[in-house]
This record gives sequence, C-alpha cells and structure tokens, in this order.
Amino acid sequence: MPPSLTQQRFFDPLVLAKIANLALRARYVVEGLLTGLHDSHFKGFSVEFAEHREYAPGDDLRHLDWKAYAKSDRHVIKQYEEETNLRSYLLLDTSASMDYRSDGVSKFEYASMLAASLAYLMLKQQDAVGLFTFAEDVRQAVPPRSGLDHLQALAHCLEGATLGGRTHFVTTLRNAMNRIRRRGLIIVISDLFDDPERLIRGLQHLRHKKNEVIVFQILDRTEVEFPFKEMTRFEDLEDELFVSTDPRVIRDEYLRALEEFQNAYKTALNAHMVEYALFTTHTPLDKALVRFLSRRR
Amino acid sequence: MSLAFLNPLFLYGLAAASLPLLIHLINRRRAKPLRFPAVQFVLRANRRIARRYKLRQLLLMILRTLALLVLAAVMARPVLTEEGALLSGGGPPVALAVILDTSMSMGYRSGAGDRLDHARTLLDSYLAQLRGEDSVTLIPTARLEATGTRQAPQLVHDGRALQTAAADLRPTFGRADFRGSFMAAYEALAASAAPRKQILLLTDRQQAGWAEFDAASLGKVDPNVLIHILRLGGAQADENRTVERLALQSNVVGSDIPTVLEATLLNTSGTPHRRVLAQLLIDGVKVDQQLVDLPAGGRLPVRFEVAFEKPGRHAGVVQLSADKLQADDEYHFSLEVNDRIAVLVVDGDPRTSLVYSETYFLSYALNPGAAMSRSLIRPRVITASELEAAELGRYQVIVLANVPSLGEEQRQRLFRYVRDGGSLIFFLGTQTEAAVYNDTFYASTTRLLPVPLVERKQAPSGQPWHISTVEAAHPALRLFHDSLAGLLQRASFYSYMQTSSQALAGGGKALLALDNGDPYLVEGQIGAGKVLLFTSSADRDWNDFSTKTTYLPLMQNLVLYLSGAQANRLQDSLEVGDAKQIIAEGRYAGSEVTVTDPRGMPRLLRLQPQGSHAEAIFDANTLPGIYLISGAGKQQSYQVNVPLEESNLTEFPAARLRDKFQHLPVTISDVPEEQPEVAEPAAQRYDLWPYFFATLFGLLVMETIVAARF
Repeated sequence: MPPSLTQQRFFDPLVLAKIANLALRARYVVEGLLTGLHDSHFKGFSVEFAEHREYAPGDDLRHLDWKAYAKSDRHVIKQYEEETNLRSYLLLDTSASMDYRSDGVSKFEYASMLAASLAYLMLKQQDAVGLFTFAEDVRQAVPPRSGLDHLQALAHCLEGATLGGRTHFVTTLRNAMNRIRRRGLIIVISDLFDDPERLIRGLQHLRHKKNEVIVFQILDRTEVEFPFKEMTRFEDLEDELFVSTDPRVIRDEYLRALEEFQNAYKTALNAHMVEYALFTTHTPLDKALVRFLSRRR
Repeated sequence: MSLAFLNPLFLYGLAAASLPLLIHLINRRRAKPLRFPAVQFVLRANRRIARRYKLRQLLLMILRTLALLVLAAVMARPVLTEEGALLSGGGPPVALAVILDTSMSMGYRSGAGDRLDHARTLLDSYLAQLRGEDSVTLIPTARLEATGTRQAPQLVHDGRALQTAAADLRPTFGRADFRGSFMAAYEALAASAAPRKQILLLTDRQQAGWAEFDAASLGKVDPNVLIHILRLGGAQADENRTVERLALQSNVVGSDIPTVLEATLLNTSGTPHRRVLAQLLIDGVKVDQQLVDLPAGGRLPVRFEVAFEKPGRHAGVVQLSADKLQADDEYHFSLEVNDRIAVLVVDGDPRTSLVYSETYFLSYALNPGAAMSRSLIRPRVITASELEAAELGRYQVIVLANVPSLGEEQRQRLFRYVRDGGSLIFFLGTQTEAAVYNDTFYASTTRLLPVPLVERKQAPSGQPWHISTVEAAHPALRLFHDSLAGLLQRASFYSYMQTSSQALAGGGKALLALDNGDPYLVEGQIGAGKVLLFTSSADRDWNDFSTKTTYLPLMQNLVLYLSGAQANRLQDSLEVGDAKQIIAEGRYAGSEVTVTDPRGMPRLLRLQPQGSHAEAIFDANTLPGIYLISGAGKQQSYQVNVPLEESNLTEFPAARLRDKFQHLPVTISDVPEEQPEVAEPAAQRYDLWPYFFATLFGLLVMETIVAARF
C-alpha cells in the first residue's frame, strides 16, 4: 500500500535534507514507511517457524499452512522467527561526481539518506549492517554489526565522508571483498559513472562468494533529462574534461548515449543476477525502500 | 556595362553580414560554465553530431551571411548600367548637360499640359537624383530667346536653380537649334572635371531641325560624352493642321475693290479633320469664314474675298479652329492697299463715235469695268482744249494721245507738273509732226520728250513691224519676263515715228523696240517726274496693238509703275527666328529706324552704310505677327509666321538620327506620355534588385530548411 499524501512529505528528499542528523532521518523515513505498511508484509524474512495466526486479507498465500487448514478447516498463517545472522554491506560511492546537484539535494546526500534508511531498516530486523565508502578504492569501512545502536556508527561514517576522486569499481569491489568474510547482501549505491566493464568485473568478485547484490544507481534529474537550453561549457567533476556546446543540439544524442550506457549496465547486471534500480535525487525515498523491501521478499 | 546603386547608403548595411559570425563568436564566449558529472555522455553526443553539426552551422552561417549581404544589396537598388546611365546612383560624379527642346512643336498639348510641361516633369525627376558631387546645366534649344543673346551655360550643383529656370521656359514659336545647343553643351561639359559626362536631350523628335543636323558640324568634340535622347511624343504623327501659305489672287489691291486671298490649309496627320473653321480677319475684324473638311495628310485651298475700305497698310490673319498645337493655327500677313489712281487722258483726235476716238482702247484698257468701278485706275478723257481748265495736280498720270501741239502756257503747266514728280505719257499718231514736237517738247525750256523725233516710218505693205525687244528687268515690264514676251510679238506695227538714236544714248531708255531696232517705248526722267514716249498711236491708226491681249496689262502696269502703286502680290513671309534685312537709301546711313514687334514693343536700330545703300539687321523676330519698320523716310511692314516644318509632328526616325551622330555614343528612347515622371533612358539601365530579391528569398528558404531539417 502506498503512503498517503500526508505521509509523502516524510519521504521527500528535500524535506529530509532539513533534518540535520542522518540517523534521525533514517528513522524518520523507515518508521514513516513502516507505519503506512501492513505488518504482515514484512514479518517473516527469516526461516525459523515461530507460531500460527489467523489469516488476514493481504497475507502472502505462500505462508498459508495448508496442513493446518486440512486439519482444522481454518486458514492460518505460519509465522517464523526472524534470522539474526544476515549480514548486509552498503557500498557507497564518494567519488567527485556524486557531489553534483542541480537543485535540491546532491547525489551523495540522497545516496547517504538511502543508505542510512536501508541500514536502519535492516538493523531493525536484527540484521548486521556494514558500510564501505569508496571512490578509486575503499576509503572507509564500518564492520557489520547488529543492533540499532550501530546506526549511529554508520551515520557518523556517512556524515564524515569526503567526496573526490574517480570511481574505480574493480579495485574497490576487489578490496571490499577481501574484507567481507561471510556471504551476505551487498548493496552498491553509486551513479555508476565508470566503465561498465569494470563494474561487471568488480561485481564478479562479489558474486564469487555467492553474495546477493543490489545496485542502486543515483542520478540527478538533469543528468537524466538534460534540460539545458543555453550554450554551455560542460566541465567534468572527476577529470580535466570540458566541452562547449549547444545542449539543445546534442540533447537527443546525449539521451541516446545515456540510454546505451544504462542498457549496457542492465544487460550485464541481469546476466549476473544482480538487482538494479535507478533513482533520481527527486525520487521520494519510500519508493526506493519499497523497491528494496519487495526485492527482499 | 557597370554596376551602380540607386541608394548607395544602404551599402553600409553590408557590414551586417558579419553579424552571424559575431553572434557565433559571442555565443562561444558567453558559454555558461557548468560542472557536470556526465560530461562523458556530452562528449560522446557531441562527437556523434560534431561533423553534421559543424557542417550545418557552417552552412547556416554562410546562408545568413549571404542573406544579409543580398538584403543590403537589394536595399541599395543595384542597377546594371551601360556606360552613362543617367545620374545612376553610386559611381563617380556626373556632369550633365540637359538640352530642353523649346521649339514650337513642344507646345503640343497632351493631357494636363504641353510637351514642354512633360519634359519639365521628367527633368525634375532627374534633378531629384542629383547628388552633391554631380553638376548639371540647362540649355534651351530655341535659336533666339526672348531675352536676346544666349548666355554661355554653366554647370551648377544646385538642381533647384535649374528647376526654377526650367519653370520659366515656354515653348517658342520657332525651330530648335540642335547644333548650337549641342555645341553649348559640349562647351559647358569641357569645363568640368567630372569623370562622367553626359548630355540629355528632351525633345519631341519631330522633323524640324534634324534634317539639316550633322554631328560632324559640331567640330571636334569629346567622344566620351554620352548622349541620351528621350522622345516625348505620342503616335508617330500627332494630329495637327496649319496654314501652309497664302496667295493674293488679284493683280493689284485697291480700296473698295474686291480682293481674293487663297489660303492653302495643310493637314499633317494621317486622319481627316472634319468641319474645320477657317476665318479671315483684317485689322482684327472678321471679314470672311469657311467651314471645310481637311483630307488626311492633304492640302485644301480656301478662298476668301475681301474689299478693303481704306487704302494703306492692313494687317490680316487667317485663323483655324484650335487644335492641340495652337501656335500654328494662325497665318499673319500684311498688305498695302492702294488708293485709286487718277489718270487724265487728253484725246488729240476725238470723234463723234467713241470707237473711233483716239483714246477709246486706251481708256478701256485702263478701266475695263468702267461701269462697275472695279478698276484701280480711273481715267478721265478730255480734249486738248479742255486741258486748260484741268487741275493737273489731281492726277498721278497724264496721257497726251495724238495731240498735235499745246500752247506755251499749257506746256509750262505740264512741264512743272512733270518736274515736280508727275508722270506723262506721249502717244504719237496721225496728227503729230516730228518738227512741231521737237520744237515744242524737246528743243525748248519746257522739254518733255526724252528723245527727239526724226521722221514717220511706214511699213511696206504686208510687212509690218513687231515688238522684238523687251526690257524685262523694268518694274513695269516684269510681267513679260518670259512666256508673255511672245504675246507682245503678235501686235503688228504699220507706222511709227522714228527717234534719234544719238539722243537716245544720252537721255532716254528704250523699254520696247521693234524688230528693225527702232524704239517703240522710251522712258525719260524730267526733274522728279517720269515721261514715257510711245512712238506709235494709242488706237488702231498705226498698229493693231490695242486689240491684242497684251495691250491691257502693259498699259495698266505702266500706269501703276508711274503712279508708284505697290506690287500686286503678298510679300514673302519671314519665319520666326529669321533675321530681317532693312535696306534704305545711302543717305540714311547713321540714322535710326524703329522696329515694332507684334506686341507693340519698339526697338531702335542704326542703319549702317553698305555700299551705295544703308542697311540694318533685325534678328529678334521671335513672335509671329506683323512688324512695323518706321524711319529712313518711310514706313513699311513685314510679316513673320511660324516655321511650317515645325507643324509636321511626324517622328524623325531613330535610325536616321543615330546615323547623324556617327561615332558618338548615343542612346535613343521613347518616354511613355502617360507617365513621364517615371521615365528613364530605357535602353541603358537594367534593374538588378528583382534578381537579388529572388536570391534573398531563395537563401531564406534554404536557411529555413537547413535550420529545421538538417
């Protein structure tokens, strides 16, 4: 069930940006989201059976206990004990390109809020959550821990992150993998402005240990829509590249090039069973979280 | 051919052609810097479209630049001109001499004004194009201006002054002097340093003035001066009619004697003129009129009859009902009307029957219509005895016909009469004796005979004498100048009085002589008077001359001559612009004569000695009409009429005109009469702006296509 209009403001990145504390923002988002959702949707990710309860409309029929139905002619749902040993790793891009904002929040701010919210959500489910920030290489690492207290450590790391440098997935993911001992869920949050080949090779390292991988691509709206009208000198944030051109003239070609780029990622990620989703910095955070949650089911 | 611009100021607009390049450069400089993460896609996109985009941009810039260039060129109105297109915009300064045809034919009315008005309108449009560095002068073609001598034309930079001068010009009544006008134009242009020199002639290009024109007669002229001849005219031959000439049908014009004048009317156009009113006015009073139809291109004689009430000078005019060229609708003439001539005929041999009287034939010859009183000459016949009572001074001529002798007193009276200017005619006959006549009329103090008589001669039977010698140069005998001289020979002379040939050499002059050499008619001068001696009889006693047809005109002419009556024909008319030669006796050299023109304006001239006589030249015959000359002891008049050639409005062929200019550069074109103000010398200017405009349109279409689709 989608959030109501009154709830929407909780997930507007611009509104959230006004909340100084990232941890608080994460809670705000997740609690707000969970308030609007039926509990039954999200209980029972783990594998240990706990008890039965009465079926209520909206429950997943996969969890209906057919045997109990045969015995008692009642619809009951099997409930499970949540697993506590799931390890999640958030890999957050801190390259220079993530510092871009057209209006509202920067890609990094959005990525941070998304990462914090995901972390909170997972910590709330008793999972252990770790964090890597990276650009050319891994810059900061927070080891996975469980417990809501751990959110502060994660938020602190995110808030203290410095942006700069180029993205280099091969090095980053290889080095990150060296630090991940146990398999788990790996969530990469980046604008993916690197060579797709390098990303794929990097992800192969992750998939090597049978990790589950989710890639969230964060782009600014202007990067997706290219709405510029005036003669512009475009200067790269990571390299010494620049080009002066009339945006109106090249817009179609730009969008085509971007689409080709996206398609290359999608194709490669699909081939490696990697979940992929694109968010612009204007996308309400709940949508991103719902996308995550639905994936988790 | 050269390229010129009518609005050259717009050529500054060519600078606008740099605008697309400037805008391009400014845009590049003004490119807003933006730090952008996805530059790799921008670069990739830019690389993909770079070639096509640059080509498109280049094409657009070229098209826009060209469009601005062509737009500026269109606004500047480019024209392709043959060398010397008139005051064409742009180009080096022009010195222009405008020759304005002010001849009579330019007064032809067409539409709102006359041809000269149209020429003026055209001139104004040219002067309006005058730039500060151009110069222009105006030369009217009239041979004689009303103001007198023509001033040397000077080039000026102020077109308005010329417009004022042109506004004062009116069509004259004379011809155009193209030679003089062209010489003046070349002279004016020679003084200019302008690199382009042109002559513009605005004319109706009708016949008059061109036939005698020849560019070779201009002498050595600048061959680089371009000549434009613009014709203002309608059809090839515009409608016009005029009085070609006027002739007097009577021998002598006298008061109260019906006189016939024959005017020849001429229709110079190709269409007939119906019901044309032709009127005769004498001294401003209409005396006769005719309504006639004039055939196309033909002549028609029209007879007017008039009886002058008073002797003396009369001014007449034949008037036609007005047509589009009114200046030639009148023909002026001046006529001297004689008073009656009184002749006293003394019959020395009167008979009971008039037919047998000595003066019967003579008196009828002098006054053929005696009863009708139609003759100028009024003879009175008396006998010799009646002479005593006659008042001689009342008669201009006295005739003594076969009078045997006269008494002393009568001879004295007669002598005084002749000496004081009277005229006397002797006819001899059966009663005249040579000795008596010699004693009384020759060898005496009252000498009246020009020569002494010798003896009577009698022709052998069947062998009469005939008149064989005629002094045809004599004013009274001009009539017998050629063919009529033969008629005189038909008279037969059987008897005559021989005269002394020695005396003849000293005193008289034989005007007529018989075939034996003896004189028949001798003229002598006595004091201020003249004496004529017929050596034969006035009747048929000694000859049959009185029954011949030549008798009457001879007698009449002799009496008119003796009486001083005026010639029996209209004097030739002068053309407007011709000079009048005024001749007087030598004794008047140094004295003044006054010439009064038809408007009554007098002008004094001094007579200059010229051989045995005195002479003055009057060259201001600028108006048609009657001019009076007074002074040098007499008054006379002469008539001036418009040149007949100016009435022929037929176009002078362009090909012939071009030939007349030989090697000189000349363009000849016609001006539409309906819109003279937009006329240009047609053959030498080609407007290019429509082509430029089409090019501009094409460029804009291409620009639109390239900008939208490429």
